[in-house]
Amino acid sequence: MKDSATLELTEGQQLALDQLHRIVQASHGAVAATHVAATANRPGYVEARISVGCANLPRTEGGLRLRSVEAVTLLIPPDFPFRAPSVRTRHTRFAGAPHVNWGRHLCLYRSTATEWDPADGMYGFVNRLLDWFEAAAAGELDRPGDPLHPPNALTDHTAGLLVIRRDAPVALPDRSWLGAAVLHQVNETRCDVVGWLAIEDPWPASPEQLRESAALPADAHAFLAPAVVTTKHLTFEYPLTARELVDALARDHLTPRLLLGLTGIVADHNRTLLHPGGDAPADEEDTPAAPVHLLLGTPSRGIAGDGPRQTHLVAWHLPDFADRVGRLAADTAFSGRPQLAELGDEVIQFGTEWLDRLPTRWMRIYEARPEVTVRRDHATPAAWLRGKRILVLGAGALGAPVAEMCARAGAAHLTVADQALVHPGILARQPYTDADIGHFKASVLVDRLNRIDPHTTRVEALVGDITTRLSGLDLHTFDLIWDCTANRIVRARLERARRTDAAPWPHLATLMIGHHATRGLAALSPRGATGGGADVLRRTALAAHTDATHVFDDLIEDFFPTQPPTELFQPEPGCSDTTFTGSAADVTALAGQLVAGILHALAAPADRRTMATLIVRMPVGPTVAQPAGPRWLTWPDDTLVTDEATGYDVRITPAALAEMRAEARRGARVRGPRVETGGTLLGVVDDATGVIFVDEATGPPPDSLLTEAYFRHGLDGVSNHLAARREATGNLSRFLGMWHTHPHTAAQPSATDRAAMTSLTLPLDDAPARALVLIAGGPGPLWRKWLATGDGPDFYAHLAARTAPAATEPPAPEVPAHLGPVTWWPGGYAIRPHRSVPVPRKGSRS
Amino acid sequence: MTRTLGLALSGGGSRAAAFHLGCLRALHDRDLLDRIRVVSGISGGSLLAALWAYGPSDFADFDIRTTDLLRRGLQLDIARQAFKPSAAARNLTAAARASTRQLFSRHSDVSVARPANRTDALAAVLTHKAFGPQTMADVTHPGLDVVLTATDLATTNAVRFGSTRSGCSRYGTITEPIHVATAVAASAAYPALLPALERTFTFQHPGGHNQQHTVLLTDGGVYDNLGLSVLEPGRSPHHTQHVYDVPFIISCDAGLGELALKAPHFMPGRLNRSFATVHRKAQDSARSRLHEWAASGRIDGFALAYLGMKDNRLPTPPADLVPRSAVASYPTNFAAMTRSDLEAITTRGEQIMRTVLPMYLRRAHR
Repeated sequence: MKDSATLELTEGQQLALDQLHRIVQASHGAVAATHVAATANRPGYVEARISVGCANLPRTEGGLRLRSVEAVTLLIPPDFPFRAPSVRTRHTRFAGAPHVNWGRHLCLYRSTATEWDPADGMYGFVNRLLDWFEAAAAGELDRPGDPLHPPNALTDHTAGLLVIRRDAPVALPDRSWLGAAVLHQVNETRCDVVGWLAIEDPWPASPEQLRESAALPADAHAFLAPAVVTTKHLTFEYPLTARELVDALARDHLTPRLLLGLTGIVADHNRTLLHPGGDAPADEEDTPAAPVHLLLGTPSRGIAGDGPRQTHLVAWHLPDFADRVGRLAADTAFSGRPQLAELGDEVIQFGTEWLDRLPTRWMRIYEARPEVTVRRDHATPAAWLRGKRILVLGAGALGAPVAEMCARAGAAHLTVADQALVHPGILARQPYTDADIGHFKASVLVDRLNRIDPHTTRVEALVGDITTRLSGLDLHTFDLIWDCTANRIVRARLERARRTDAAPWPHLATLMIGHHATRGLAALSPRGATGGGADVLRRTALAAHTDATHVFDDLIEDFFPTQPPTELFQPEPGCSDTTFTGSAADVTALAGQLVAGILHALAAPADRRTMATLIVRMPVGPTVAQPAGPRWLTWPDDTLVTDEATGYDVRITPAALAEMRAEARRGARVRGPRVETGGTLLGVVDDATGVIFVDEATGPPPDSLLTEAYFRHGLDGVSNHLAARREATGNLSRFLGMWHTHPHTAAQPSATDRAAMTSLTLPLDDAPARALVLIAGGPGPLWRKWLATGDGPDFYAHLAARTAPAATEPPAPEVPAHLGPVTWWPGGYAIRPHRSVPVPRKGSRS
Repeated sequence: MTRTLGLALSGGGSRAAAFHLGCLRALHDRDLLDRIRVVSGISGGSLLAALWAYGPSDFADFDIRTTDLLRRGLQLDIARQAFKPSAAARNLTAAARASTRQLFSRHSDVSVARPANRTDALAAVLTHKAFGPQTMADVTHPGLDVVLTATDLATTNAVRFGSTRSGCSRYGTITEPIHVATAVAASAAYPALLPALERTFTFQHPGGHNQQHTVLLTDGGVYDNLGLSVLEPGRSPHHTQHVYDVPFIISCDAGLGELALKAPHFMPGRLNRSFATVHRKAQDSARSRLHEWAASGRIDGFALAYLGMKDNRLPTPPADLVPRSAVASYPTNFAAMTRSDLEAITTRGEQIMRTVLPMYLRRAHR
């Protein structure tokens, strides 16, 4: 090691050289350092020449041919170790090998940000270098199964930027692909490749057709660019002179004649498209109608070892003169007129010589082709949103981030509905700006979201009152509706509209956050589920109230309080609407978790989607007990019956149905197959949405009266039971009515039933004026099938209004006289009838 | 129908059997019996488990037969069977052989003096009255497995008689077919009431070789009177022959809870009471294990029907609930039950199970 004493070294470079010195000492001759100097063309850098012994490396035929000692130069940056050193050769023997850039630079790291560890310093770097030589000798720089190292082109930032959006063509095995790329001029420096036209295909004849073929909006500026795709991989490094490039292409039979001709044909077509009717001013004959970008594709992308290769693209920005030369060539050599052939040859000769003197200017290329890029969200729940049609109700603290998540995930169509205006207070947590104040949230948001990916996602605003504007929308065209309004009225409207719609609704997700934005709820009502958002939230409230482990107590207080909360937040005391307190961090985090959860649920197979609610809680400080993590509640579908009197939905929970069936099976076991039974129904009637919720059912009270033709509901214990359930459910589930069975006969009210309906309610303190009469029945086979397999019986439902005054005294425990002498049973868990029967039935115990 | 439930029937003589009968009625009405993957029984629970698993496939027939058996009891028959001449003769020969072969071991307090004892008599009665020559593999309901647990007094290991295999962790798998009557009698030999049952089986050691061992079988409830350990989630197949990962466990517990205050003055009373205390403690810890499994997510949930539950602890008790006091004094033997005792205990079982099931299932179904 010499010269280092005369150099001005930074602290980091000194460290690097010390480390290198120790590596050399410990390497027993495998690594030697020969020379340290300032780097000529990179101020501040120090270069150290080292030699690496490669004699013992295992080699293969396809491997890089290495000498027994390979000399390389390490370039040590002044801010080492916070910037990785680089390494280059002084020769170009390695040029053309993968992971060799510009003929001299060895590419050791795919990403220094993750692979370079400053703590390892030169030790890590030299290890990488030795690995590189080992892999090079073994011909494994592109390992089988790894993505191929694509060729490099030193780009010129002034040459412009191309974003490749459409999958590129490939050449036939024996013939290059020739044609044009459809370019969309996005701004002064950037064009997007939005389509490909093969030379043999018909090309669009007008700008309108061109835009239409590429699905571009009417105001888009589009033109064509010549494009070739070769049959063979050309190089790992594109040359900086046109001569080298032309020579390389000629090996693939792409002669300068073809290139000039193609350029000219495309230039002519651009002229036709952009100046229809030949209205180009004569003095602009030398000005091209569009810039000349020559796109060059090679089969250089794919997985090392096997599989078809995809096209790797570079683009050469040619001087405007290429347009002129090309058109001349096209008009002469490719005119098809023999008399012009000689002139054509001269033009080609001239053009070739012109090309020969040109440098190449490689444009920057950003890939957005599906075939060579993988979306960063591809393996996430958000992938569900791609290509979907989404409706977001509300553009506030939840709706705005939700809409943005959908747009970023590549939804095809997004409608955002909101009627509110941006005002200063919401800027603390909603994604709007000072300039937006006074404008409609939906419009401002939509303008912004439309700019995220105009090629994929189209966003529309729906400004106005949601409940009225919804009637103008065909909701069935959407795949998913997010209700982010946190508005009871909207929920009730949606529930009613969903219920009365003959066609199934799209998935509906209802999002809410708590009063301090510490908790969030997402209620999912999948397509075809029996309940909408209001229904699923009601179930959530019931589940939270009845959970014996009290894990949802915080949720009850926040979302489903039995008493209205007393402390409400008014941002402008006395004037503004009440709202929740919470920051941008809170609402964005909650929205993200809720959206991710719902998308997870939607990604499940259709037959496994159920009504479900996700509960999430925000983290607190490190020294405070953490709230529980995310939690799902799920519910299977209800059994639906339509109420005869009102047309309301009667939604019977599986729990209530199971209890009725258990009681019917018990009856068949103990009392024989034909004795009716019944009991109390708990739930609620919601007249706004037109839904009768049947939450629970119980068996007959002990003082009931059960015969084969008649069931009379008793009273023993009913009040206590109702009080206990009201208490347990936070008053959500109350006396709703009565059910009874008609075993082996139709589920229709008998004359007795009809007569009793007017007085059908129980002498309870809080007896409502209406009671649901629910009759389960069906002909013999159907009834027996229900008892045996659980396949539903027939139901009759009637919401009866009580007209007769409620009886205050329980009826006598006797069979009505008109029934004559029959066997009658008490309710409860009795195991024998009131009067001894002559022949005991099978199953009854005596 | 997928069988995903584990059913555990606790010990407790005829009281347990009657309580479990009531529980099974409720499970039948809720149509859950067809979803039981494995039933585990201890002592009186073993009797009921076996009567159901090896009995008539029709529930009503099983109900009638079981009611009949419990009404008549097994006790008187046990006494008669134990003093049959053949049994007495076996006892004499055994005693003679034992003395010559030094079976009265000085190093252990294990005595095998009476091979044909009252527990053998119980096995004989069970053969005669309920199970005939049925072996453990002859389960009536397809897809159902049975495990009846006894304790080997010699090694203090659990001996499990199962429909797929029988054995204990120390000796391995028993190669002979086991009679259901033997398994039930062994599991039901409550130490304070019945002597241990001596049997010699050929065990296949986990290593592969076969060897004969004599086991002294007694009530399986000495350690685990609820029969839950067979159903413990995530048991390693390397340490036990019975692994049933059932996500939902239904536990029928015929324990009575707090013991009535009484001071036993005489030896048999003290012995009896100390056994009762052991069982009660074991039961308490088993119940808390159920809660732990559910809280830690190792099982989806469980339902516990507990005979001794305080009436006011039921969230919504039926109006005609048979009170705890009406069944609290019933002893844990196998004597004939009066109709009113049987009805009271079975009805309480049915009522408690029907009342708690919706509560527990509601959580598990979400």
